[in-house]
Amino acid sequence: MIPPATDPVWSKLIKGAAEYQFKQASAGMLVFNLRAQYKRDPSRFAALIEDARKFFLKYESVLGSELQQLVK
Amino acid sequence: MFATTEEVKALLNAGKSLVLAGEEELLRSLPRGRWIGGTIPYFMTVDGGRTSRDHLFVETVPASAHARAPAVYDTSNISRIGEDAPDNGYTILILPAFTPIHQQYALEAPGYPGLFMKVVAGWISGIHLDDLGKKTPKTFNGESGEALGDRGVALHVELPDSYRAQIGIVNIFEPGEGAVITFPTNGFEVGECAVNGERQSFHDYLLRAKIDTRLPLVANFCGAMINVSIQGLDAGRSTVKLYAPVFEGVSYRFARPVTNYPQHFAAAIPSNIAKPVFTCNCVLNYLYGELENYRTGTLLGPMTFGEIAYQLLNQTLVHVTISPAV
Repeated sequence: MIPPATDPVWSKLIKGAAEYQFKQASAGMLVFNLRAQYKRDPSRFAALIEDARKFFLKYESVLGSELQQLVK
Repeated sequence: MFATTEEVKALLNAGKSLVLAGEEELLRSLPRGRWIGGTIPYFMTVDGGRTSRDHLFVETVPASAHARAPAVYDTSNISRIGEDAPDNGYTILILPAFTPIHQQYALEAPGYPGLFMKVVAGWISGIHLDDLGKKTPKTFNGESGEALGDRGVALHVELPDSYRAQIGIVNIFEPGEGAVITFPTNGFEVGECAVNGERQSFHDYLLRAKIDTRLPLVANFCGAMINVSIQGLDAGRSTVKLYAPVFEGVSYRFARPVTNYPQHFAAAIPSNIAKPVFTCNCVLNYLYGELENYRTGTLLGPMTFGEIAYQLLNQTLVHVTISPAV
């Protein structure tokens, strides 16, 4: 189950408040890039959360360990 | 499949959609059809690493898939690659080395809309190292017959709903125990860096610390190990040229040395992997690992001037596999 956009896990993900060691390289690259975008332009916070959620929704079936880290 | 031009012509005549790698003259000799290509004479074959000017490496689009007509990209529209890629399927993108589109993709692709939502893989075309200064890397649009020196070409492949494509990355490098290196700006050519927080010339640091520049810099992108390979030191400008850009503020370390490339590759390839529809490996692995005539496991394909798995990578093996949707 993918957390809703209002869940604090997304804020931690985008703002870099938690460390992740994702197995899926695409997840690592995406989150790394979203964090870089947030540093450049914090006003895009909500849009970046939406990008992250879309990714996790689309690939939920192969992101088991990534989701575990996300909601921990 | 490592093939002669006659074998490739037979596949095209049979209506197959292909991704091809080989010497420019061989690609120019092929008939028009649903194929894309890039120049490179280095390959990993079933018989081991090979340099060949008379064979092509062929990757065939599966019969269950549909390849759209090849798409050509320049610096004005390459940012659309993620949006153009099929929602369910995969895209193979080939870009010519040392060109503005190569540089732009390397620096900006991670921010392209929708890139990580799709399966975008590919490689950077190159030349035989003996041809440096005589030839330039090319890409080919097989449908129009064009050879392109400054543009990229992509094959967008759609899959039925019952299948999914997935990218895999095999990276035998991991960060070593050495200093943490950061850079003040993004770029392919570096002057200044900070070593364990101390600002200094990156060029001078490599010499002073006697760094083995065959090893890449490695950064941990939330679990994804991303390499940046050293192209060379420019003593006159006191800079270091790279095969992929470093990014501002990212912490890099030089990789731990690898003693036996073939064994490391064979061990790093997942044992349960399905036969890929696409594979490429880095020419630096071929050269530094002295892979000529050595096998590196079951993943075969061109040895290229850079790999694409969403963004540009160095010194890695990239593959795309297809499996039933769950």
